[in-house]
Order: sequence, then C-alpha cells, then structure tokens
Amino acid sequence: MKTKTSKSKIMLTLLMVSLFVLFSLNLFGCAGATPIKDKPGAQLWGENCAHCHTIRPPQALTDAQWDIVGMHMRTRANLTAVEARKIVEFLKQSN
Amino acid sequence: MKRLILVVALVFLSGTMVQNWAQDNSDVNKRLNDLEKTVQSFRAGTHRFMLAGLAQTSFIKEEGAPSTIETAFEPIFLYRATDKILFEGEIEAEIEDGGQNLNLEYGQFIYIVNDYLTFGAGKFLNPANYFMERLHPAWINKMPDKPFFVHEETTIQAPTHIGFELRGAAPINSAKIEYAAFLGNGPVLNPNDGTVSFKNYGDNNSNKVIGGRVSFLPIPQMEIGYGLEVARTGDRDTPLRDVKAVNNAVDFTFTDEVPGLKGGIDVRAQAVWLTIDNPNMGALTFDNTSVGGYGQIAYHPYNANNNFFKNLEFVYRFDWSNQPDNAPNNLEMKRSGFGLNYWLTSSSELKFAYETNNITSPDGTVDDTENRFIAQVALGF
Repeated sequence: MKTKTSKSKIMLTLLMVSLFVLFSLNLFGCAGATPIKDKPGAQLWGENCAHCHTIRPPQALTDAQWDIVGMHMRTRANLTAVEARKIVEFLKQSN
Repeated sequence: MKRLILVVALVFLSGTMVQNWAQDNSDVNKRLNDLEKTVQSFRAGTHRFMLAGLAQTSFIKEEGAPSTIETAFEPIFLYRATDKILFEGEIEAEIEDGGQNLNLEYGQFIYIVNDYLTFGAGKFLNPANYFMERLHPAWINKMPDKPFFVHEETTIQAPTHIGFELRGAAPINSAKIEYAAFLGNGPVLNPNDGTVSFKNYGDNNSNKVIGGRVSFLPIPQMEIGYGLEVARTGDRDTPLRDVKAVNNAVDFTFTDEVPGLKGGIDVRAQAVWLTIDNPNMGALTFDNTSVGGYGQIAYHPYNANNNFFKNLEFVYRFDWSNQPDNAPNNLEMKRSGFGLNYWLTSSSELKFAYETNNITSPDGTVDDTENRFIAQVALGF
C-alpha cells in the first residue's frame, strides 16, 4: 500500500513540476499584459472560449443565437460583462 | 449622315436599356434581400429560444466483462427573455449500465443583476466542482469517461445543487477574479456506511449546504480555484442530525498555444477532500475522510501542416479515489488512461482510450487490476 501511495505522490510531484515549467515558459513568452477592457473581441474570444473547449467559428450560429449563447456562457464561464459584450460583438460582426 | 443618326439612336437606345437593366437589377437585389431576411426569420434560433446540446455513443470493453455499447442525448434549452433574464435547462437521456435514465441535468432561472453579479435559482451545476461545471460534456471532456471523484458510484463532490446561487467575475487590470456562492439542499448521510448522497432531490433537515468558489486568473491561460461546501447531513430529529460534511476542492487549469509544438497544450487538475464528522455512534466510529481527484495533460497539434495530424489530440489522465480506511466496503482506486482523439469538426470528435485501473482494499482482500478500452463518438451542437 505504501508503495502505491508513493507512486501516486511521485506522479503528482511530476505533474506539479510540469505545470511549473509550463507556467514559467509562458510567463517568459508573454508579450505584455493588456488590460481586459482594452483587448479586442477577437482576442477575448480566443482566450476565454478556448479556456474550456475548442472554439466554434462565428458562422456556426446566427447573430440572435450568439446573443443567447453569450448570456449562457457569461454565467457558466464567469465572463466579465466587458468580455461577454466584446466577444458577442466580434462574433456577430464576423458572421 | 444616316450613319450618324443610326449611331446616336443606338447610343440612346443602349443607354435606356442599361438604365432599365440597372433598375431591374436593383429590384431583384432588393427582393433577394427581403427573401433572405424572411428565410432567416424562420431559421431555428433567430429569436429568443435556442436548442443546443450534445450526443455521444461509447463502445466499452473491460477486461473480464462483456463489451457493451452506451449512448446519451442531452438537449439544452436556452430562452433569453430579456437582456437580463435567461432560462437554461438540460435534459439527460442516456442508456448505460443496462438501464435507461432520464434526468434533469440542470434547469435554472438566471438574472443578471449588474456587471459583477448574476443570480441563479433552480438546479445548477456545482460551481465548486470545476470539472462538472465546465468540462464534463462529452465533446469537451478529453477522455471518454469521467474521473472517479465525479463518477456516480464513487462521487465525493456534488455534481449539482438545487437552490440559489450568486456569481460573477471582475477584471483586475489584465488579470481576473471569479467568484460564486450558493445555498441548496444538502447531502444526505447514510448511517450504515458513512457515505453521503448528493442527489439532493429533497432535504432531510432544515440545514442547507452553503458553499462557494473563488478563482484567480493571473493570465488568461491559467486559473487556480478553491471551492468549499459545508452542510449538516443527518436526518432531522435523530442523534446524527448535527453530523457535518465539509468539502474542499482545489483546481488548476493551464491552456496555451505553443508555437514550437505547432499546437496547444491543455493541463488540468482537481483534488477534492470530503470530511464527515465522526459521531462515534452505531456503524460510524471511524475517521471519515475521502479524497479524490485527477491530473490531465493534452496536446493538440492544430497548427501542423499535415491535415490528418492537425486533427489528432493526445491525452494522458491519472485519477484516484480513496475512501476512509476503516469504512465498510472501503476501496482505493487509482487509474491511468491514455487517450487519442480525432477532431471531425470544432465540436465533434472520435475518442479512443486505454485505461488501467488498480483497485485495492486496506485489509488486502481486494487487489485487482482492470484494463479497459473505450471508443466514443461525441458531438456538441
């Protein structure tokens, strides 16, 4: 039992190390921190939607459907009001 | 002279014809635009109501057991009454484990109070359980099954709550903080083995589960969250009424595009601790703490030059669930799984996974290793 517990601890440790390395690489690769309110809708669309799932193209839904999905995802994914508004505007403009 | 008159007449005539043609063309375009608008108005989802959802079918072959095929269809109904009011509901119709189930996955009235606060009432996915709230739909979950800690038979964190929630998010320059608080029917204690049921269809006492989650996104690609749920679990008017359950959960997400790898990396982890008071009564005379969780990493080379390779996704997941050492029927489960997915579209995929599950009991009477193959087709719409 102890051996199995040790194995799981080793795997968790490896996972945490991997996360740290990935995080560090990402920080060094950052081009600069733009405030959320200044980001364009296209960027917010990519950042927020891809946080959980593959992103659907703007043409996948109608403008009215994007309005509904925008409200649904604002609640589910805890988007800020600015993020939700800009993302829906971008999707409708690109539709 | 005659030629000149003929040329002038021809020029006049052709000019008139071009003018008439342009007029006709304009009329045709206008009628086409009107027709397009009319057709659009009859399309589903062009008004306040929208049907979304998902469907999946799985082939499962477990070592020592007959292979089986399971399927599920989960329509989501969305109704946007106003700019501030939304109803969202999902019906889960599934055929699995030799039976057929029809459940209300969630059904919630939503009111957007202001830019920073949203109110919800009804049955909702547990905000403190990141996997269940954000990642469990088959077309989003990168493995074809759920981790132990949210699987029906080994759940140690509520997948849903029936009650009320307040939630929202606030930007902090380029970072973001997310928050949620809720109140609902609490979990129900089983006095025979110390487990709790999270079905919550009714409450066994007037005490409600109170909980919440706070998360911080220092950069858009990364999220670190902490969830807490507290409730009294015993039946009203029994000596066990004050037995308290406390659930702590931490979750981590990192998703980003890595140009050097021509694709994206997706790293996720969640760990859950469920601690239930030891009342030292009847069968409940042990330290009642269950732990579980998962870690997962996936790589999707969507920028690869090869059309086949760019649709592939490679996944590795490790998940575990440990029940209390002295609990009746205690089992400890540790599972490793490799997944290979092929994306057909942005929301439909074929998934293949091979998993090795090690199950043990502290007294040594159980020590099994089960291998399992799963193939699944999943579609989100």
